[in-house]
Amino acid sequence: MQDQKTKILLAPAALVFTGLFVVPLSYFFVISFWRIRLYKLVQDFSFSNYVSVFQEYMHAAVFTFFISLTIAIVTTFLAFAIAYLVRFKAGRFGPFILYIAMVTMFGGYLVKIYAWKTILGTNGILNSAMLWVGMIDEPLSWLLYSPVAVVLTLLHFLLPLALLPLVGALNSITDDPILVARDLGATGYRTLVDIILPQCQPGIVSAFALSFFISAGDYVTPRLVGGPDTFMVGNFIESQFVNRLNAPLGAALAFSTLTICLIALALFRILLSRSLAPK
Amino acid sequence: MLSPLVLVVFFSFGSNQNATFPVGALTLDWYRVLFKNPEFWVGLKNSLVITVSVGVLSTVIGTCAAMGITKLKSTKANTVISALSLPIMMPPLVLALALVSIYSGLGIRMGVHTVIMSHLVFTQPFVIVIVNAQLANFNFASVDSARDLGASPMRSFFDIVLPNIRPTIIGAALIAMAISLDDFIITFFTIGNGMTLPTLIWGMMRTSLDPSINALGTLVLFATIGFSAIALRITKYQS
Amino acid sequence: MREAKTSATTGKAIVRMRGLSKSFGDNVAFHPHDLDIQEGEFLALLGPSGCGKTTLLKMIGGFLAPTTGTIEISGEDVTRYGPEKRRTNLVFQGYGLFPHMTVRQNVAYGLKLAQTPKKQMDEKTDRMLSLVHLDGYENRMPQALSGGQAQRVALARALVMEPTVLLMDECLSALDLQLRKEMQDELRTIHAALGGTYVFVTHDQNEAMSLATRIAVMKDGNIVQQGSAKDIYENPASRFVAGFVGEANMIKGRRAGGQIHAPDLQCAVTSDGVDCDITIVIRPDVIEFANPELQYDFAMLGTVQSKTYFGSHLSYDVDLDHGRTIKLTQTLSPADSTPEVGQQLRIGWNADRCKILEAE
Repeated sequence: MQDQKTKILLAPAALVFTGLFVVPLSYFFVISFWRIRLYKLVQDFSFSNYVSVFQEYMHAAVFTFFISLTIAIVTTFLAFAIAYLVRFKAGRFGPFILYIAMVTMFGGYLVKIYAWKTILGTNGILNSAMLWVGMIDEPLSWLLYSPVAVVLTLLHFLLPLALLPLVGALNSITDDPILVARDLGATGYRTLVDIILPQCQPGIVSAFALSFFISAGDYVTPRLVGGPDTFMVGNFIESQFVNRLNAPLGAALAFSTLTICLIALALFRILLSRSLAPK
Repeated sequence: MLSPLVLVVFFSFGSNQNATFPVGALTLDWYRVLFKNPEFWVGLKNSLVITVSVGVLSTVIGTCAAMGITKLKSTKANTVISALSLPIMMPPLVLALALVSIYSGLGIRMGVHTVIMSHLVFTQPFVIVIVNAQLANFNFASVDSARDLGASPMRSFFDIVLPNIRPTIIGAALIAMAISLDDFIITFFTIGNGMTLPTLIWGMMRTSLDPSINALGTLVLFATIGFSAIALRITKYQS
Repeated sequence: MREAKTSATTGKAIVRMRGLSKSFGDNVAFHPHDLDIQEGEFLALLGPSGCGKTTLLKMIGGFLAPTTGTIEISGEDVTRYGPEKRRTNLVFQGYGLFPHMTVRQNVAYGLKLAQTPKKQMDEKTDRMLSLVHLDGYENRMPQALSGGQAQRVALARALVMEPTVLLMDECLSALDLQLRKEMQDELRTIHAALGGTYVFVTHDQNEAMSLATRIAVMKDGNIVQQGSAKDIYENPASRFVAGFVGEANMIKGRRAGGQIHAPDLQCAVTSDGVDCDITIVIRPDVIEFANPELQYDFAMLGTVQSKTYFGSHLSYDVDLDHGRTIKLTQTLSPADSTPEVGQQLRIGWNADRCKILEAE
């Protein structure tokens, strides 16, 4: 009876989850083994798509991997610093900082990219400001349309998202163990490493995973601020669909990227828990 | 974190065509240009329909699920929540393409309705997490007392539980709406030939250097930020 | 500012506090006091919530900086030192176990920070774990421990540091009665075995009486009385102490010309001292059902209003003729006759067993 009711309550959400997440992704996965002939999907079971992924897109995958890793590490680090300030140092301003951060979370994905475009452009604010101050003699053209611009834009977009799990993790740490550690002779740094960080592990992993996956799968940012040389896997996946109408290859590319990301995430997790394990 | 957004707002009121400093004279020209654009009104209508539908549906579904989850044991509850949250972690492009593939595979015509369906899958986890967090603090003994005094399960939900979590539910709905309105990638792929405000921005960004983009951006910005700011206010950022 | 209250004694003080006080804004949590803690004593800070006892404890531990005054520990001025620089260790009310560490790692953490050689660290940890009867639980995680076990881990973690002063903040209050009694016995045994100076905070007078060699009763940021459990029980300095430590009947009256006059008393009693308002404090256990052959300093008539059985003793409420109720307890022995509810009888006690408080 009680079980029945729980099931009924969960049913719609489970339906949405299954019908619009599990099934489409499974289908998408199946497609990655199909082929395209005369612009039509042909059911098949071949690894040829994955083979071409390895042959043709390795460079893009490696580039995407490193740029996403950079973004994820920097974002997680900065988000942790902010969350740490909010929890331990900012006192009354903590909630206010958090409020601003959360509000900017939904500031419009495209609008943010657009904003960075105007900031980093040749006639943009940053160049104008540096020219005016006299730091540079002519505008830096590499600011926009470069990997730097992609990193900055995604960092700005991801920071509030990454902040959420970290604030949650830090808030669930009670004060007592921290006071005890100090009482037992721990310095601020030791308390951070021995007591606070190990307890934030799930939050750190979530923040990292979130920034890493979203960066690795993004194609809008590199398209708009990345310039001609910053092609990430997302751009290739998208173009397989939109321009070449080769869904199977796009799917294979997507799942290869996901797999690499998952392996990287697993490695990150292991490394993190190794380095934070109490000795 | 705020400053890039402030700039967009700034430029939307300036007469400078290139969105650089100096901003130029204060003007509402870009808003006038925007409001004369028929596409803006189409996009606005679609965005409104999508945002409101997603807000209502994901809140109802998510609240039910959160209620169900509180009845589970904590380890099982955590598993369910993490599983349902997976769509947030998925790169939107991959999810969008998977959805497009299945819609076209099943021969479903794409439009506003497919966007609404697609948005549900990544807005409902937010509602579930927010409402669930609130329910975790809720003392269910009061529901038992209501039942003991003769209230039906339905009745006790509406009389006891709902009044206590109403702010949270409204907050969760607003968050869901902000996320829905903010989404571009999934909307872009699943709307077929339709148009919403974000896809309009996309079109403008790619084709022209039309400063009315700043005006549109500002409007979207104020809408999403407004939703989330109110939401955070009422839920007192519990999540 | 008020004069610091002095309760410093000579002797071997391991903690010496002078003019110590703590205010939060306008709110004075602890008024200026001098207080010494002697080496080897087991001091209880006893008082209701909000009396400043935890504030005092946290100042000794270095968790709160005093507003005025100084603290010396082992002759060194530690007033400005944080907890990490003091040889005191505090057992927190909620234990504060490190949730991501095993029992063993929890206990060894402080030694690790002090860079104790591995062998010595293991030995000390083992010894401490077996002292608190946690052998076999070394590799458990804190979540898998019962309340009593968690309490022992917290205690072991502090004790293994061999603190100059061990501080405990209501650390038994979360345990149920049975377990609390067991832990009290154990704490006493450990104190006897290891020696050392212990200070603990409690609102439970039974706990204070069963553990402490000295009790400091606190109220509204003041230490209102100090002494052994017996001292405080038998000679409470104020109505507050009398009511807070043990049960007491309190009868208000006035002393004039060496005679006590109280509306509730049916008899006149002589008492030396100046003329003033007084309160007579009588513990329930000193009042007897009057034996007709004996003489009592205080004697009066009453009716048994209720009678409660407690196994080792009986507790009675006796209504005096004009409405006042007196509580008395009767230790049971087989020969005693026990009066019934409704019975009229005489009760009495002697002046040397009750305490007369002046002008309060």
